[in-house]
Amino acid sequence: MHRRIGFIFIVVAIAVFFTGVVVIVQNQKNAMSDKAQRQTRPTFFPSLKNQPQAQQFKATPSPSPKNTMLSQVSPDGSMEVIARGQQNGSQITYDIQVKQKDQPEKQIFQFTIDANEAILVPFNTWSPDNKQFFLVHHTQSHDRYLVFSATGKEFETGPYLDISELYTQKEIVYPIRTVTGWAAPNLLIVATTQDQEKGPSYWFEVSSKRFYQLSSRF
Amino acid sequence: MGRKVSVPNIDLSKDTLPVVLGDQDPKPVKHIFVDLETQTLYAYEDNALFLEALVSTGRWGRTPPGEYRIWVKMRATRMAGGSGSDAYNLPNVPYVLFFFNNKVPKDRGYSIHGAYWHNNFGYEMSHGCVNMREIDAEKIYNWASPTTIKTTTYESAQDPGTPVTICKKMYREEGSLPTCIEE
Repeated sequence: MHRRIGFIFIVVAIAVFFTGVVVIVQNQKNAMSDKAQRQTRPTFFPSLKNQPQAQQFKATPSPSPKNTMLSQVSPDGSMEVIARGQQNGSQITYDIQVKQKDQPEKQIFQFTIDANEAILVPFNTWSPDNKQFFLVHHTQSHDRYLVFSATGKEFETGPYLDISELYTQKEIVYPIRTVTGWAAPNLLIVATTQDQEKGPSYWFEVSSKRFYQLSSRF
Repeated sequence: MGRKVSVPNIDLSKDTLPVVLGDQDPKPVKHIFVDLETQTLYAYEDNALFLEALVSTGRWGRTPPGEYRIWVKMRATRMAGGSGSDAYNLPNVPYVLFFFNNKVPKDRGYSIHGAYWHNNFGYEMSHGCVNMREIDAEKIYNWASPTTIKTTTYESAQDPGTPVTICKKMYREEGSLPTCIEE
């Protein structure tokens, strides 16, 4: 009987010993695994120390309106054309206004165009009699030259005359290089390109919408 | 040239002279430069730029380069010349500064002046004169010597005219006067 009890005790003792060893080894394994994981996996809350400010917080993109203003006075200083642009997202809206000396601005037209385009006010924008002006609509592919009445009065075909479009209709082979300015109250000078050099120049008569080739090249 | 232009009214009897606020002593050295290549006029007071403006000089090289001096200023005058289809007759040309030198005498009539009949500055347009926008011509007229005392003012020994240099091509550097690199 005593022998049997002694045998059972020894068996239980051995079992307890091995169980303890297994648990300790397993705990050590787990501990090592946790350490290894802590070293490799990304930290959920990163430390803010030594981080550049820009990387700490990502700003939410929001529309940032870009405002532009271009203007040009008439050669006698009595009139001014103003182009105010306001960008909103991928578009930009230009208000075209005319200001007569000592009088409030008058709205003439409004453009809404792609933000990568622009409305430009050339130095020679005003006709010598201050009755008309021209603007440049700059696009990625080409420039459009648009004539307006200073009073905002519409032409037969619309609020402005598109010289580029009228020129294209004439099927003249030389592409427009630029519109330089006014030769007279009703005549704009259109300069062209020929073989990558100065091509013939033309008068564009606003009233008749006709082009006249000149002997000189601007 | 067969074209009629609207002429601005200028009543010389009612024309007022600019108010001179104090008199600088010693007087700054004034000099006008015209760059034919870029069609630009520069006005300098000592080495400081007073005015820069696009101009229109003579077509087909009709503005002769050289060193000149203003000999008379006129608030307005009639200009006529040319022949055939090139003839012109323009009354009330405003803010006129006539210049001359030994090779280009006074009777040739070269001048800097306002132009009301075109707005194509930055490109050659004239018969030889230096055309400016009226607002720019007014500034030069009121600034340049001889000091304006009447609607027509001649230079004198006490008040000589401002020098005018016209170059085919010009080199400019900030803080110093331009120099002709092609005359």
